[in-house]
Amino acid sequence: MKQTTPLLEMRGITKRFGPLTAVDGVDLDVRAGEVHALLGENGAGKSTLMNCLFGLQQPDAGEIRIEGTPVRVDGPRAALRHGIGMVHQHFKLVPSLTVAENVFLGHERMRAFGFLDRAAQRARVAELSERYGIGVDPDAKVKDLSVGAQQRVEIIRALSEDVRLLVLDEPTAVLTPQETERLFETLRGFVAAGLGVVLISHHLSEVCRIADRVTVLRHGRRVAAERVADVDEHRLAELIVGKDLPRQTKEWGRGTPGAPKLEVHGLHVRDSRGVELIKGLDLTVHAGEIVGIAGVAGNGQTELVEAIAGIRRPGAGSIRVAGVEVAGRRPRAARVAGLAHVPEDRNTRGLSVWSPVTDNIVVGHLDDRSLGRPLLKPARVRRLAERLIERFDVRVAHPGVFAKRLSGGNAQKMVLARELSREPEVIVCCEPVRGLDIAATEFVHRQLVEHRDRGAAVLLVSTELPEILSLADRILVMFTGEVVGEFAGDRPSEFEVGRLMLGMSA
Amino acid sequence: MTDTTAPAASPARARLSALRPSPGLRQSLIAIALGLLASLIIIAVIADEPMAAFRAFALGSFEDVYSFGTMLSIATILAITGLSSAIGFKAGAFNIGGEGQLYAGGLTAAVVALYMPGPGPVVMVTALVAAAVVGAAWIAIPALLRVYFGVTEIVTTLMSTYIAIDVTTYLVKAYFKDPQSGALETPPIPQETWLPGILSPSNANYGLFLAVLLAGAMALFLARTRLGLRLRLVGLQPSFAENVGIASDRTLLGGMLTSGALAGLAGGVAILGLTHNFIDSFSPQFGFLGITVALIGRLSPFGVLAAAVLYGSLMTGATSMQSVSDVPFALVFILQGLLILLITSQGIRRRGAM
Repeated sequence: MKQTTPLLEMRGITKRFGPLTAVDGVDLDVRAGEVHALLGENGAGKSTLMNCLFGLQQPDAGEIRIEGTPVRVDGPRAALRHGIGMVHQHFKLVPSLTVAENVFLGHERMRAFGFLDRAAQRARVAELSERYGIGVDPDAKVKDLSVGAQQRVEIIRALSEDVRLLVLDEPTAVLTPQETERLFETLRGFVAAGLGVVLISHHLSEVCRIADRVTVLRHGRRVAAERVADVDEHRLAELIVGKDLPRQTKEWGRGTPGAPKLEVHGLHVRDSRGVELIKGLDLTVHAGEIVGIAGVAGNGQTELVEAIAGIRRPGAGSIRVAGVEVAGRRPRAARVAGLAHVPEDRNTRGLSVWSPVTDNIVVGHLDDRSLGRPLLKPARVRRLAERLIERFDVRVAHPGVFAKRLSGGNAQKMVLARELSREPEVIVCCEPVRGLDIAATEFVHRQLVEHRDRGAAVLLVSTELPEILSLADRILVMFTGEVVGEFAGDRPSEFEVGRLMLGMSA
Repeated sequence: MTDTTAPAASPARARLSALRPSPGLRQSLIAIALGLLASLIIIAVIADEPMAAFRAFALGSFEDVYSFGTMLSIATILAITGLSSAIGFKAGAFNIGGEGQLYAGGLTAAVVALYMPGPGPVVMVTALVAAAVVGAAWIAIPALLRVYFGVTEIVTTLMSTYIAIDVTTYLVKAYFKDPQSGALETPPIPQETWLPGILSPSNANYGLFLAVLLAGAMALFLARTRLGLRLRLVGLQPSFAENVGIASDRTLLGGMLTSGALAGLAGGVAILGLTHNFIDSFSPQFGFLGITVALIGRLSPFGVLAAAVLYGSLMTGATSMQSVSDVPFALVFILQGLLILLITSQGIRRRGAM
C-alpha cells in the first residue's frame, strides 16, 4: 500500500440487457480528494454503470470495493450506508416543503415516540451548509428557490448522511454560468475536505476546468482513463466519439429540396421552473428534404418536437406547418395542417398500450368517410387496418392484439402505419429507431426516405449521430437550446459534428 | 443512456388499472364464485338452518312471479347506475357520486310529475329527461374541476353526494312534503305518469326496457362510433389521445356529464317506476352499487346488464333469506365488498406481472 487505497474501485463491471451488453467489463477508480469525470455519448453506459454503483441494477459480473473492502450494494439505501451519495439530473424535491424537510425526506431524524426532530434536521442542514459554504436557508420553501439553489438542496441531501463519495449526473445542464461557477467552488470545497466526486458531464470545457482525472466510456467499454492534465478537449472529443472507429452505416440517397414546408421562427420554450430550454430557434425544412437535428440528449430537441406537435406551448415564436400557423395550438391543428408525429416516448404518446392494433391505426383515419358514417363499419375498419398492417410489415397474429404485446420494432411500424399512411406533408420524428433491431431500423429509415422522395418534409431528431449522418440531407446541431451549427452539401465527419454537439466551436 | 424504463404509471392509471380490457368474463365468474363461496361459509356459520337460508338467498328471486319481478325492478335501477359508472370509467373518470346524482334526478322527476300539467306520457318523458339533465348538472362542478384544474373527482363527486342527499331532504321538508304523511316524503305522483308496470303485482316496469335500450345504445356508441373510439382512447391513455389530435379534455368532460345524466335518470326511473313518490333517503345505495355492478360487468354494457340481474337477485334473495332465517340482509354488503376486492385485485396482480 504505497499510495492510499482508492476510495472506490469498480472492477470488471458487466451488465447485459437481453442481447445488449450495456456495460462490458468496465473499471473505475475514484480517489479521495479528486474530481473524477465520467464521459461518454448517450448509451455509452454511464448511467448503467452508476445504477450498478447505487444498487438500482445488479451487475452480471464484476466487483465493487469501497476503501479496499468488497461490498454488495443492493439498493440506494445500501449505497448511502457505504457513504455514496447521488445528485440526480432531475431534481426530486417536494416544492411545498422546506429545505430541511426535503433533505431528510424518507430518513427523518426522530425523537422519542416517533416525533420529528426538526431542530436536529435544521441544525444538520445549517452545519453542512456552513462547512462546505453551500449557503442554503434550512427553512426556505423549495418552491421559492432558484434552480441553482434547488440543486444545492439536492447536494445537501446527498451529503446528509456521512457521505464520502458524491456522484453528480450532469449537474451543470440546468445551471447558468454563474451558478456553474458556484457549483464548482462547492465541489472544490468537497475535494479539499477529502471527499471523492464523480462528475458525469457532456461539457468538455467544464470537465477540463474542474476534473482531476477522466474515464471515457464508448459502447459500454472503457476506452480511456487519463489525468486531465495529460489530455485536451480535442483528444477527449476523439475518445468520446471514436473517430478512429468508422461505424458501419447504410448510405441512403439524397433528396431534392422544394418549397418550405415546416418553418420555425424565433421559438422560445421554458420548462415549468422557468428555465429556458429553447432560446430563439429558427429552422426550415423543405419538401423533399430530411433535416437531421444532432445533439446530446437534453439540449432542447425533445422540447422542439413537442412544441411543433402541439404538446408543449412555446413561450414565443412561430411554427408553420405547410403554411398554417400552429404555435400554441392543440395537436389537432398541426395534424390537420399535414403533420405526422413519431414521438420519442412511444409507449406514452405513440401508441395506446391497452388498445388493439386496429384502434391504434384507425384513430389516424377517422376523417375517412368510407369507413362508414355515422356508424363505423367493422368490416371496413378491419380491412383498412389489415391493409396497413401488411403495407408497414407489422408482424402481428391478428389486428385485435393489444399494442402492449408488440415488440419494439413492430410497435414502431404500427405507429408509422398510422402516421405515414396519411400522406403527411411534414413528418417529425424523434429517436425513431431507439430500441429497434437492424431490420426494423432499416425499415423505418426506408419509410422516411420514401416519404422524403414523395415530397414530404422530414425533421429527424436523434442522439445517434450515425443515424443522422446516413439519412439527413442537411444537419443542424443543437446545444443548450440553440442551433450552433449547420452542415449542408457534403456530409461532415462524425468528428466535426461531435465537436459541436459537445459545445466546442467548429 | 440505456432506455429500459417503462412509462411511469400515473395515479389515475394505477387507479383504473383494474379496468383495462382483459379476458374479463372468466375473471368476473371466478370472483362471483369465490364471493358466493364465502357467503355460503358465512351463512353456514351464522344460520340455524343453513340449507334453508342458502336456498332462500340463492333462489329467493326465482320462486314466483312477484319475487322475480321485484328482482327485475331492482336490477333495472342497478343496470342504469351501472351504465353510469361504466361510461365514467371508460372516459377515465371515477364517478363515485352516482348516489347524489340519483337523488337529485329522483327529486326532480317527482316534482315534474307532481306539478307539470299535460297528458301522462308527456309528463313522464319530461320528468325522465329533467332527471337526466339535473343529474348531469350535479356532476358538472366536479367534472369541470377535474378537467380544467386536475382536482381528483373521487373526492369531489363523493362530497357532492352528501350535499345532494341533504339538499333533497331540505327541499322535501320545506316545499314538497306530503301533509297527509308523517314521513318525510312527497305526495304520490299521479298514476298516469308512472312507468307502466309489468309482471303484476310486482314493481317491475318499462324502465327495464329503457335499461336494455340504454345498454344497447352504449354498446353501439363505444364500439361503432368515432366519438366512442375517442372516448375509450382518452380513458385508457390521455397522453396518447391528445397526441393523435383528440381533445381529451372535452371528451372527458362529455363522458363525466353522461355519467351524471345516467345516474340522474336512474333516480327518475326509481321514482316513476318503483316508489311513485320521493321518500327522504329512499335509495338502498343504488348509486354506489352501480360501481360494483359496472366492475362485475367489466364495463361492457351487456355485462353490466347481466351483473345488475345477478346483483338484483342477491339483494332480493337476501331479503327473502332474512325473513326465513336469522341471517341479516347485511350479508349482501359483505358480498359486495368481497366482489370489489376480488375483481380489483385481479387488476393489481396483472400490473405486478407486467
